[in-house]
Amino acid sequence: MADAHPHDDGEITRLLHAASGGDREAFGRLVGVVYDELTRIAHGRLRVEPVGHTLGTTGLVHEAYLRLAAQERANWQNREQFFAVASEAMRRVLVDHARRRLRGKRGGHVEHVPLDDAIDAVALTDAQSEELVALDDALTRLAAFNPEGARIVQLHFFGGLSQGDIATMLDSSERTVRRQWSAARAWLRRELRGNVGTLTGLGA
Amino acid sequence: MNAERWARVEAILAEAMDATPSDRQQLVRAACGGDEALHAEVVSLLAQWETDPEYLAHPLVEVPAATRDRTGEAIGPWEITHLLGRGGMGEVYHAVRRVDGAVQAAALKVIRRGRDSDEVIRRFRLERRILAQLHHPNIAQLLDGGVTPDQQPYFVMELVEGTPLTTWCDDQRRGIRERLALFLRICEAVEHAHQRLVVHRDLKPGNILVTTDGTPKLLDFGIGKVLEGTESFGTSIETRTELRLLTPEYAAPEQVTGGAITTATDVYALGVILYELLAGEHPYRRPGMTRPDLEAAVVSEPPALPSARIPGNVAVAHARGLDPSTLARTLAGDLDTIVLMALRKEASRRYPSAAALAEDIRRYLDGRPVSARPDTIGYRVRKFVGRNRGSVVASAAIVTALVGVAVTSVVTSRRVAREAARVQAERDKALEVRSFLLEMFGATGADQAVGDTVSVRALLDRQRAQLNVAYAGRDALKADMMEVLADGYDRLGLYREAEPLAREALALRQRVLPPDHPDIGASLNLLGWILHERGEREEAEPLLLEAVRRRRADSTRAPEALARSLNDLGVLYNATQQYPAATAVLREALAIRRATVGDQHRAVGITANNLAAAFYLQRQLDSAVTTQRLALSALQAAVGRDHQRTTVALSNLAAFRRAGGDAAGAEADYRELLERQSRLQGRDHPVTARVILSLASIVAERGVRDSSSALLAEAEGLSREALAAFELRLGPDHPMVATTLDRLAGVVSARGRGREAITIQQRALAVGRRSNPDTGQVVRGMVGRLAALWRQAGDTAAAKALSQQYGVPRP
Repeated sequence: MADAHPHDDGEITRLLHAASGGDREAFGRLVGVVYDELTRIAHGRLRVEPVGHTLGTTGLVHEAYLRLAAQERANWQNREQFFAVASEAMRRVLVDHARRRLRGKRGGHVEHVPLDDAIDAVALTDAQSEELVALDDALTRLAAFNPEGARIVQLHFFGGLSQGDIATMLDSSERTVRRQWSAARAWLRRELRGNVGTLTGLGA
Repeated sequence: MNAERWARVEAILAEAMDATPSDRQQLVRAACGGDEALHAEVVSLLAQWETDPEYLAHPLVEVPAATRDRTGEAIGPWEITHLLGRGGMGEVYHAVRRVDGAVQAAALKVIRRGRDSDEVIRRFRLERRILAQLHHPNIAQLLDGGVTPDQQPYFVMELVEGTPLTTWCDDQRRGIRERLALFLRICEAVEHAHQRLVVHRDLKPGNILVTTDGTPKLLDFGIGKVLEGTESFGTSIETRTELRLLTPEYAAPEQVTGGAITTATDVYALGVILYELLAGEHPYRRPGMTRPDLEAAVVSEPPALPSARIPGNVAVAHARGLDPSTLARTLAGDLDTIVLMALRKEASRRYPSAAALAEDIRRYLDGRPVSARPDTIGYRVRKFVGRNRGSVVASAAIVTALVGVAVTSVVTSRRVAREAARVQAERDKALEVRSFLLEMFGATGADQAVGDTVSVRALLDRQRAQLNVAYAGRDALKADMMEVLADGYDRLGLYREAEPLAREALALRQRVLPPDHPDIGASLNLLGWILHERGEREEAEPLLLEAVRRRRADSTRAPEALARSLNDLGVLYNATQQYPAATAVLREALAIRRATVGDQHRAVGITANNLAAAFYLQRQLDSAVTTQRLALSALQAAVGRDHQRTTVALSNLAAFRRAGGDAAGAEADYRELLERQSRLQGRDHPVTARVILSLASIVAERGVRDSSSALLAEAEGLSREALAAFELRLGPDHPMVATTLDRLAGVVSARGRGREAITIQQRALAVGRRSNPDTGQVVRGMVGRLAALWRQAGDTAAAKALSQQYGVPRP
């Protein structure tokens, strides 16, 4: 039973408690849990479905949510808490994958990534990979002076939360969230310049 | 850029975006108040926004609509107190309701609404009766269920606070015998549900909680069936996800391959749970295994012996209060064998029931020899070839594959196992339907189930619709299934549906089976019986005679089959007034049944009932009453007071007593019977209609005697009701229709409507002649009564002509 799940049942609960109390390290480890789950699902899915079948990231995140929620039953305080973690994990999964893809393209060292082909099922093109990496970098820069805006973009774009959900989560108003959101993505779009326009609708 | 400056940029941008495009430029300039750098920044960002307002607007992921927290809401009589948890299917709440001043707490599960929730609701309504009858101290009781005001299905279950089974055992460091004792209680609960036709489908440690006082409680019994196969969970993608979420760790091979779910499916899950309780490991799961790996292992990989998992595993042994070598020795042998028997891939080779599994564990605990035997490869090959003898090519390939198990690729053996599972699933399907029907009508619990003919009929109709597709090219299997369905329709009184299926099953078996195969005898008997029930007695008699002949030849092997055919033939003889012949065959049938199954068995009750009728019809009233008492006591012992057959037996006893002159007592009996029958089978069931007709006769007699127009009116109403039921359920040419018309004519005449009575009596005669071609005693009686009616109406010429035509002397 010890190996039943890579994360034993108590662990997620403990991390959640710590993370909701503002423990960044706990949050980071929680992201790691979801990250593992996402990649494992992607890996498993690829093995049963025909090659070339595109794995929607929607399905990926839902499945991770359902699995972890089922595993932990009531311990996710609410779905926003999960999606806050999941959006971070999703961002890392996709950006890591995009970076590996570009690194391989440029003839660099290819590290041992057993799940790489699984993520390929998400079917990122080179252009999308470039844009994702650029977006990730830009989001990090944005967070330096506009952390709320960066967070909103991540929750919506990588986590799929609506403006209403985000407003509830940040204890803000929908109107404020919309203002912050519009400004942030205008800034991001300018930062990305040439790399804009390949990412919408991916896998949805 | 810093945070402060960004805040200004953001504020100006927001105002600009809200403004009309023509006002925008001026507004921005004014807002920036001469700060050129700020102005340039805002204009630049505004341009980005105007170029591409949808940028990043479509998330890479989308999430399902937010689920609500219903705390404080009322659902039916339930008040939601707080959220207990969320899962893939929806939310679970703590809820309370007030019953007679007391507060009852429960777990209320709201199923997330999806496209097919109507289907979930429909199934739930079908299942609810059955689920509500699961009363067992180790099963969390289903309390309520329905639809919330916003149209989401919900279930209310007994609230259980406890720890998952395996965790509890480990936390408490329970030893092997204690674990087995606890497991036995779980088996008993599962068996209780199985006897009531409820299969859990998702047994796992998380669904078996142990309360603080050490009582195991099984959750969610029967819910799996209601939810299974429906797309009830939000979007289509999520649906797929949800279905995949069903715990593969405890899924039986037939669940992985999409085969039939039977009670053996739960036996398998019990096997996995027992494996974990004993060995502390899952039979197949390994670190790093993906879901498809696990599913493939479930279907094709033989599990390691539980005892083989122990060496070196100090933690597991410690949690059982032992050292690894002692634990391994304890498990080796009987316990290994018991667990692996429950885990067999083919459902039919597992323990036949949870009770059988429990019994073997009890034998182990008592130090007696267990019934489980180790599996062998040779046995598996033989069984597999046996099942596939129709297809020489296929079985040859399979033999090769299985014999060469060590060298063939994993893929091949996996495919073979899937094929085996598929064939098995089909066979299980017929068995499942049969056992379902037997349970519905058979020895136990039938009174509540019979009223629920809707779900039985739905099951039959569904299976019938799939016959040609599901069993194309597999005639023997198809005949089995048709036989089961014909039997089911017959038991529901739907003889017109039953007959063609029985005919086809017989024809198929005669074509594909050896000429003296016992199944052909069974088919002859079933068709003969159904024809008898439809009133096609001329055709029925030779079929039943042939069934008796065949079964007599085979009676050393299967005496009970001969008894069944003799019984059915006796009933036919009774119906065709061949009473001495009926008495002879029924006496023989009763002797066989009493010798083989004992006096407390329903078979004895049924045959004794029929023999008593034969005595009664020959006016041997003492023998009739004595034999009927045997029938009644056998049936009450075997199936309970409320069972249909018990009520029929009571009804007969009432009739025999009535014949002895106790009309008032008989009338009271019939009224009680009518109340029971209507409740159990519905008022238009043929059996209920017979009770109505008997009551009508008694009421009519009393009405004539007391010159009571009210009683006569009641008698007419009852007769007409019985007539409508017989016409509807038996067809317009059934002998019971003739009998009822005959009685109705008498009542109508007694009420002073002579002409109408003549018309009815003519109809009675016409139907009677069609359904009794031998124009026996019954028809002669009708002719006499018709002639009497003519005379009463003053038309002696018509009466005379009629009497001459039938050669009936004037009464």
